[in-house]
Order: sequence, then structure tokens, then C-alpha cells
Amino acid sequence: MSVSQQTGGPNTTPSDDEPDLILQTDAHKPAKRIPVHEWIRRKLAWIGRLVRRQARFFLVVLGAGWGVIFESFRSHAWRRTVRYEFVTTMNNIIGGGVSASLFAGMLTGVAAVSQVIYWLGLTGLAKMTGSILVNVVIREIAPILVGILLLGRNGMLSATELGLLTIGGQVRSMQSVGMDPFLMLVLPRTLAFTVAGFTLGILFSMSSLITGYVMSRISGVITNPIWTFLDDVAAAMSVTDYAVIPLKFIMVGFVVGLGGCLTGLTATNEDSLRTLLPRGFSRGMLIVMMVSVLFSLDL
Amino acid sequence: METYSAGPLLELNKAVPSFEDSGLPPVPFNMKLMPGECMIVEARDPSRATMFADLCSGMVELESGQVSFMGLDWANLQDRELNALRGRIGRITRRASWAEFMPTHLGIILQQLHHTTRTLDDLVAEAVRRSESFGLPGVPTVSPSLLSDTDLTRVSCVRAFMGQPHLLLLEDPLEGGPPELYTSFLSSITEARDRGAGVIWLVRSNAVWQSYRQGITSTWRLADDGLVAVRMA
Amino acid sequence: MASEEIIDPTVQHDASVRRVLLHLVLPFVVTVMAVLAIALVGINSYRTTKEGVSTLTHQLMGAVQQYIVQQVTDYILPAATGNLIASGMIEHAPAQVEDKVFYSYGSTMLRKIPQLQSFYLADDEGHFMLIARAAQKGVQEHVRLIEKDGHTYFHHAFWDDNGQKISETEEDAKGYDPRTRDWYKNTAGTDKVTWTKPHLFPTTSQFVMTSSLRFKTDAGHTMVFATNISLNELSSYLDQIKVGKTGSAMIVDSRGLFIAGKNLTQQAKAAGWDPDKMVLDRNAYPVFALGYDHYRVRGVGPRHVTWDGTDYITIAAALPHYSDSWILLMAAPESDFGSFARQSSHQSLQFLAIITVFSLVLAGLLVRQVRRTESSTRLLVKQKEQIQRESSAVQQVAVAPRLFDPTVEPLSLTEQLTLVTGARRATLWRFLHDGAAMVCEDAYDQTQNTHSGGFEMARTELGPFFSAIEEGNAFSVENAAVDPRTTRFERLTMRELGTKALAICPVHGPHGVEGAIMLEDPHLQPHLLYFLDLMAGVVALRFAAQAQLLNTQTGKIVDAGEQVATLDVPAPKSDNMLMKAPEASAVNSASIYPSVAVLVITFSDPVVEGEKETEALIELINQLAADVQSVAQEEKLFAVEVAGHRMICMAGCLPTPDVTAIVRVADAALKMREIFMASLAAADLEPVFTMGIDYGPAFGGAVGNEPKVFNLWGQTVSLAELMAQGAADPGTIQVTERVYGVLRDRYLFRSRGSFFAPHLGLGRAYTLAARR
Repeated sequence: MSVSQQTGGPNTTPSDDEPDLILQTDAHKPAKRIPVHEWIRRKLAWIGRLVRRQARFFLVVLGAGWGVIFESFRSHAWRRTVRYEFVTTMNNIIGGGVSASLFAGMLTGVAAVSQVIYWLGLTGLAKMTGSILVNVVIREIAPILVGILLLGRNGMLSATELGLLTIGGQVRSMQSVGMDPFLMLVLPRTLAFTVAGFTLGILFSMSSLITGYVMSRISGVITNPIWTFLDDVAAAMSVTDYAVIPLKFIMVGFVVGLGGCLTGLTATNEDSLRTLLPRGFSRGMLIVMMVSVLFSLDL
Repeated sequence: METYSAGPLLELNKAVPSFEDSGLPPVPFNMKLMPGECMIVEARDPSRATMFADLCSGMVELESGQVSFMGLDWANLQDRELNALRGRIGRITRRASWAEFMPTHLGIILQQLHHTTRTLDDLVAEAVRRSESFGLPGVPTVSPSLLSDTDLTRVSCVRAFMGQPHLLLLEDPLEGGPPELYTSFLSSITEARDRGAGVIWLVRSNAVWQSYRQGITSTWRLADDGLVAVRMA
Repeated sequence: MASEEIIDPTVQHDASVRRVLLHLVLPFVVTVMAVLAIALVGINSYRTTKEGVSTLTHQLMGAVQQYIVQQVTDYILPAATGNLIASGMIEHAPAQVEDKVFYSYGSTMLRKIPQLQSFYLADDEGHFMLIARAAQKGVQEHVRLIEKDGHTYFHHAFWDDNGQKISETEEDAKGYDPRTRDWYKNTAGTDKVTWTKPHLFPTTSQFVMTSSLRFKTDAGHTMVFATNISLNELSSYLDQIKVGKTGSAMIVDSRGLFIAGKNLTQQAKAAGWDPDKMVLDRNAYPVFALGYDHYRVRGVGPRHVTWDGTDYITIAAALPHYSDSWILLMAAPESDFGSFARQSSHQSLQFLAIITVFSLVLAGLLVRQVRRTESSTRLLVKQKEQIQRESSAVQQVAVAPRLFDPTVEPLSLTEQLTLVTGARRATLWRFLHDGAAMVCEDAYDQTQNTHSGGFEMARTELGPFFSAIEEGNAFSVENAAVDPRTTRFERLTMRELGTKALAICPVHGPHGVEGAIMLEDPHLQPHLLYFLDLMAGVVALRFAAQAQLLNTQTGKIVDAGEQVATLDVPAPKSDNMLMKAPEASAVNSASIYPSVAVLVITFSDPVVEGEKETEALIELINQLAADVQSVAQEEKLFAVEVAGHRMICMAGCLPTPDVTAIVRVADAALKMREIFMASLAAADLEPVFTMGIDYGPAFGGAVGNEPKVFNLWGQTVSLAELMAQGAADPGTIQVTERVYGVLRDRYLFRSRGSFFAPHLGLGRAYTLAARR
């Protein structure tokens, strides 16, 4: 890691006011004699470096994601320590995030329903509130909001915790007595995030649906009992929705957890909280958006 | 614990550590530690001592040569086996090694929890016993950051001797530590050696180990020219 | 600990994973893929064949259908076209030859075309002519409606084939008017051929249908020419046709009425000769009925129907224009056409099943073979390892320093014995006192990695066991508890460890059997016996050397003892000394003694309740003190000092080194222990004491003003104290390394391991067990 960061070092130009003769001659002479293939090689190397640096985190996430899934099917991976970390993290996320998710769900439900009533109320289309809630709120907004909640509440916490451990050297200390940080921290936390993403997402959806119903009922747009309303909602969902919506929640949880943990673990000595937090946040947002868009594109 | 007796416990065979990786001098390191032996390595620089301990536990990339522990070359091991093998090492390090979010008692038994199937009761009993022998009233259960420096040294000792490690990499806890730690530390070392464990005791100055000199197998000095054997006076 | 590790790093898993992959998964996957491929090909061919059969069947049916349609057309054509021809002929013939034309045409047609029954000719004025076959063969009947006296008669004339009139009759026509008949009426308003419903032709008792055509003659009369055609003939024709093997055909009209087909007459009879009731009978012709239903729903064309589990093909075809509402129905079992193909596809399916089973069996065999090879390879590796282990064990024994020196414990021997034989515990036993007892030289417990020794067994206890060993042959016992030779031995030594099997290899010395090697729970393979013998030889050599050493030593010590005994000692005085040798009283200044043996006995407080018990305890303590005194005097100790819980016994407080001091102290310790144990047991108390011995230089002398008190101090004393305090169990005697070093040849010791003591550093401690 440190090697790749040092690659930029030797190319820095010397200070301008005192041109170094030796450096100058060194810099000029070979420049004239660079053969074409060497020039191409250098340019390619530069492009490659650039691409690798940009894509590195993405590739790391991909690789680690596969690692998490692969390892989680091996019985040896689920040791007591891993189980402990998994349960603790999951309790933390779900226990702490329930009220926030429910509240966010309520707000979203109110906002969506009032919009629907405003736009469609006159034409009598307001009876479609259920299907609109499904298509707009649950399928599109919920994963993003839940992802942001997860990221803000716990993803950043994980990134910071692991980042500080990495910078402080605790991670290396763990490694030196055979405790693989990937197995001990990344795997259980990522899976805990995954489960929590699903749980909170479903809670969020339920809360927004019920709030939406209550709002519509109060404003008199809907007079059906709640079961009919829920039946409408279920009818508005296509078969793929049943797979895609949970999958979105799961994926969002998975990537937020993985991204947070990896941001922490890939911290270097030059990092501090000042660099770590913004990086973790922007990466997390990017990943959440990517997952959401990816699924929306597909269907 | 079955005693490992099929050769040197730890062997550095012309191991040249990568300088970029470790800051250790890139010269061949040669050393053999037999089971039951206790070796003093004198290193002035604590970070270098830490790196040397890393080298012994296969954490430092080598330019050439090999480091093998219990007859297994670190470089030839798969991840799973590598980690399991490292689980047989007890270590006291100057590097930060206590995670903030984990209470101390868990940190103490974590290594054993991770690598073995020993019951929790068993582990706790051992932790309590060792804590008491190291001068603690019991196993501390607060967060490590709340412990005083001396108490942190004590729990580090407890953690290092937990289980029955085959190799002890001890970056001297005595210097600057509480004087009453001395007895329990040395008796723990003796107990481990009697069981067949090898001990590498990394010290900063000669003063620390003088009263244990009869138990020392060999003395080395870690300096810029590598690992040099020192004749015992 | 290793068993508690989740992952054993010394075992490389990847190789085995790859092996499983290569030897088990790969063949399995390949087999499955092969079977799948075969199955796919088989199913595909089955499907193709089935489709082909279906197509072929349809084509065949189509061909048959066309053929039948052609035939039916041919059958009906004379009637239809005949009408046209005849009407054309009559139309332009002069009125007077009309009948001639009619008869000659009719007779010709009747002679030539069998299915035609008769011809009618009628006009709008009510004239009527008929020509038909007579009942007699080769005779034709000409009938004409004549009017006589306002009454109508049928004039019948019978002609033979040669044109000769045979006979002539007349019959009352009963007001017959052709213009009222169906065949006449249904031509009204059309110039096309029209058909009547089938009806029974009375003269020939045949089902006939009449086709009629209306035309205008040149004379301006409207005439109708009609032809009767027999359906019986058509039916028997349809009956003859074979569609496939067992199929048949029939003709129905659009209302589902039976026109022609098999068993026409029966049908007619069943319907009471009423053509309107001759509907297609569902019970008699279920397949045709199904085919007709299909036709009604989906129109003409071939259809698949299933009846009673059999697949049929039915074809409904419209017959040509002259009978727009007639339908030809054909039905045949599909199997008639496709049986060969079906058989072939069945065969291919069977073939497929056989291949699948066969390849599965082959794969199983392959896997089994691979596994066997694997296991034998493993066995080979194991054997190789075993050999390696044995040779390394022999080497380990061989390189053990001072192997034959009896003063060095034979640790490597027992260790290697357990290593090679896999025994739980290996013990070396040596016969003492000419075989009256045997003593355990060394016992190595593999699971706990500990050495012990010093137990003694007497022949009086274990008679059969001793004699079994003395027979000199190695033997092993599966269950030592039930074998009469070893039951007592098992109870005494093996039960605590829980071992079951016992292998014994006697050690032969120059004077017969001198001891034995015993292995508990060994995994003895026959080829290991040589190793045991080898070890027994080594042990024998050791025993021989030991015997020699012992002889010389006993002599020496006995001498020393005698020397001491010669010293004349006065009785001790009373102070804090429980016992004091006379030379102790003589001491009046402090000095350093080079070799003092110190025995420290510490008692812990027993719990005492009540006056009576306290008295008893004081009595006991008094008794113990007296015992100590007597022992001390017996062993000629220097002094016994009492201080609270502690007793300090010392010997060798001489300015010159005294070799016997430590021996005397050790003997005293053993004796005291025995006495204490007995006394405490008698008083129903636990052994509440521990003893510690050290041996070395100490300061000592009389201190204070008169009466001066003798005191001893120094490291030796504090170590002895430490030993007493840190003894493993109550009632044990713990000694330092120095004591062990001096007494190792005369006494039996158990090692307790290394200890770090503050201020003293690293040292080993031993427990004194017994005299040798």
C-alpha cells in the first residue's frame, strides 16, 4: 500500500529558484532519446496508474464483497468472536435505527400522499395512492433513505472505528496473533448491515404505507378499510417487485457496511478523522446511489 | 498442549526483511529458538523491536530467506493455517493493541475465543487466575482506555500468557512497569518454558533481565547491522 | 490445546480439498454431464420421432382421405352426372322418343353401374316412368304410369338383358302422383342436382337416395330426371376400405345423420327404418362421435382425439359439390401408423436408461477405485511415517546423553516408547531385593507430559503378576482388569489413569529377569516388538550399571553411619529445642557450616471446637512431639527447633562437611511422615503438615546472653521453609534441586517442574517419595 503511494514521490520537480544542473541535464538528455515504444509505454503506464487509482476502491469492494459471501458459507468462519461481532453490530444498528427509520418512513409517507392528493385528487385517481406509494416510495425512495440512514448512523461509525484501529496499529496487532481483521470485523459487520438493511427497509416501508393510508383516510380520499388498501398495494406490485425490493434493501445494507468497513481498513498513516470521514461519506453515498440506479436501470 | 519437539521452534534462516516494509536492516537474520529456550533480544528502538517481533510472526515481507515457526515456513501457508499458527503466539507489544469498542476482559480472551473451542468458563477462570497472579484484583471489565498505564501493562501480560502459547514474543513490559510485576512475569515465563514454549524477550537495556540471567539461553542485540549474538558475561 | 484449536495449522487442507475435487467431484460431475447429454439426446430423438410419426400419420391419413373421397365421388358421380347426361339427352329428344331414350339410357346404366338402383322420369303433367332392376337377376323392370278410365295404373314390363320382354303386369297406382314426391318437389326453383334423404327402397329392400334434376324440354314441359343410388353399396364399400390397420370411415350429413358406413342396415333397423332418426350413435361409434364433435367446433381437417386411453386420429372431410352437406369421417388409432416409430423411441428410452445406470455404476466403481488407491497411499505414507518415527526414536534414545549412566533418569526411553507405540503411559520397573518387590524407575504419562516414579510393589501383593513377568516372555493383556495375572496391578496403578490394555516386556539381565517395560493402552503392531526388545536391552544395561553403583554406595554410607554412631552424645537440655545433640550444647559461638541439612515441617491449624477436642489435640501434639524426639535421636540429628507451627530439624552443623547429614535428615523425614500420617489418621484428622528439605551452607551458632540459644539461618533454611510452604499436597516432602542431586541414587523423587522463586531465581522442585 505504502509502495503505491510513494510512486508519485520521485517525480516531483525540484524547487524552481535553484535549478539543479545535474537534474536538468538528466531531465533533458534522455528526453530527446526516448524511443517511441518507451514513450508509449510510459503513457500507458500513466493511464493505467490513473485508472487503477480511481478504480481501486471499487475493485476492493468487489473483491471483498465476494470474499464476504464466500467466507460466510464456510463453517470455520463463524467462530464465537465473529458471531459476537455480528450480533453486537446488528443489535446496534437495528436497535438504534428502528425509531429513525419509522419516523423517516412516516415523513415520507405523509409527503408522498399529500403530493398524490394534490396532483391526482381532483381527477379521482387518488385511489391509486397505494400503487404510487409502492412505485415511488418503496421501490425508489426507501432504499436510498434507508441507505443514507444506515450510512450516517452506523456506516460512518464503522469507518471511523476501523480507521482509527488501522491508523493506531491495533489491526496489525490483531493480525500478529492470527486474528484476521477481515474475518473478525469486515465479515460480521457487513452481514449485520445486510440483515439490518433488510429489516429497517421493511419497517420503513410498512411505516410509510400505514402513514399514507391514515393520511388518505383522514383527508377523505380513501374510504376503504386498510385491508383493501393493502390489497391494492399488493396488486400494484409486480412479481419482480417482490424480489427486487428486498434485494435492494439487502444490497444497500451490504454495500454500506462493506464500504464503511473497507474505508476504515484501507486507511493509511497519512489519514486522520479529517480525511477519513468525508471520504467514507462520499463513498457511501456514491455506492448507495449506484445500487439504487443499477436496479432501476435493470427494471 | 503437546510439546513441539521436532526441531527448532522458531528459525530465521538467512531471512532478509524488506526495508520498506519494516525498517529493519536488510541483512540476513539467522537465529534458532528451541522449545523451552528463553532468548533476550536487546533493541534500543522500541519500534524496531516491534518489527522484529512482526518478523518472527511472519508479518514482514522477506526479500529472501525464510522464517519458519514450528517447522512451517510462514510464506508457504494459506491464510487460514497462517492465522491459526499465529494463534499459537502470545505477544506483548508496545503497539496499541486494545480495541476501544471491546471491553478489556473480552480483549484478554479474544485470541483464545477466536482460535480454540475452549469453553468460556474455562477461559474466564484462566483469565481470573492470571489476572490475580499479575497483581490485579480480578479481570478488568471496563474499556481499556479507562485503565491506568500500569494496569494496561498487567492485562497485556495476562493476555500474552493466556492459553498455552508455543511462542512468547514479549516486548519488555517491565521497564517502566510496576516493580511487583517482576515476580509474576518471570514465574509466568518459567512456567511457559517448562511446558516447552519458546520465549523471545525484547528488552531495551540490560538491566532488566540481570536477575534472571541464569535462565537465559542466549542474548542477541538488534542493531543496524542486524541480529548479533552477544556473549553472555 | 491442539485438540481445542479450531484449525490445525499443521494440516494442510488445500491438498485434500483438491484431492476430493479431483477424485470425487470431477468423475461425478463428468458422469452426471455424460448422463445428462445422453438423456438430452435421447429425449430429443424421442420427441423428433414422435413429431415425425404424427406428421407421417397425418399425411397418410390425408392420402387415405383423398383416396376415399375420390372413391366416394366416383361412387356417387354416376348418379349426379348421369342425371345431367340423361336430362340433356331427353331435353332435346322428340317427345315420342323420350321414353325410348329414357329406357335405353336407364337399362344401359343399370347394367353397367351396380350402385345405381333405378331411374325416374316425370313431367309437370304427372307422367311418370321408372326403370329399375327386378328381383330376378339380369331382368329389368320398366314401369310407366298410365291412365285408364280416369284411373291410374302402373304398367310393369320385365325385360331381359337381350332386350326381350319377358312379362307384363298392371297394378293400381292408387292415385300416385310423381309431382308430390320429395325427389320432384325439391328440384323446384333450381337447375342443380338435388338429393333426397335416404329412404328404404321397397323393391330391393335397400337404402337409397335419390338425386334429381329438373329441366325443360324443347316442347316446353318441365321434366324431372331422378336417379336412385344405393347406400348399401356405398356402405359395404366403406366397410371394405381399411384406414390404417383397424380404422374405418363413414359418411354423415351436416346434422349428424348417418348416411353410409359400417352396419348401415342394423343402424336403420335400430332407427326403425326412419332416416331422420339415424343419428350418429355415441355408444356404437364413440370415436366417430368425437371426431364429429371436433368437426362441428373446428371445421374440417385432421384431429387428435383420445378415447379410453388410446390416441386416435380423426379426419373430417367435406365431400364435393354435388352433396354440400355430406361429411366423410375417418378414424384410426394413431398406433396403426406410428407403432414402429413409437417402438423405436421406446427402445431408445430404454437404451438411455440402461446407459445411465451403467455409467453411474462405472462412476461409482471409479470413485471406489480412486478412494481405495487413496487410502492405500495414505496407508503407505502412514507406514513410512511410522518407520521414520521408529528410527528417529531409536536415534533419540541413542543420542540421549549418558544413557547408561544410572544416575541420570531414563526420561528419553519412556518418552520414545510412548511416542512409537502410542501408549498412554510407559513405565520401567526394576526388581528389588532379589525379586521381593519392584520399583518404578520412571513412568511417563503421554497425555500430561509428566514423568513420575518411585512407586513400589511387593511380591506379596502381586504374586501372579511377578511370576508372569519372571517367565521372561513378553505378553500383552487386552483388559487388564479381568486377567488373573494383572487384576491387582490394574487396581493399584492403572485404574487412576483409566487405562485398560497392558503390554509387558520383561528385561533380561545377567541373573534372569531384572525388571519390565510396561505400556498402557499401546497400539502395538507386531513389527514393533523388535523396538520393544531393543529398548528392553537398553534398560537391562542400565539396570546392570545401577546395581553396580548401588552396591558401592551402600557400602560407603553404611561406613559413614557407623562413624557418626561412634560419637558419644549427652542428653539434650530443654529450651526451644525439642531435641538437641550434645555437640549442639557445646557450641557457643556463631559460624558458618558448609553442609547443613534442614528439614522444615509446617503444620496448619486444625479446626477445634469444644474443650474435649482441644484436650485431645494437645495430647496428640504432645505425642507427635515425643515421636519427633525419638526419631531425631534415632537419626542422630543435630537439633530440632520448635517455633509455633514450625519444626526445624537440622543435621550436619559441623565446621567440616558432613555427607551423612542429608541422608539422616531424609530418613528422619520419611519416618516422621509415616508416624504423623498414622497418628493423624488415628485421630481422624487430615494430614495437615508439609515438609521441606534443603541442603547447603548455613549460618548457625549460639546467640544472645546466657543461656545462649542456638539458632540456624541462611538461604538453606529459608529454602527449606519455602519448600515446606509450597509443597504440592499435604503430607508430602518437597526438596530442592540440591537435595535431589545428592540423594537421587538412594531415594525416589518425583519431579514437580521448574519454579521461579523471588530472590532465588529459577529452580526445580522434587517430591521425596520413598527410599529405594
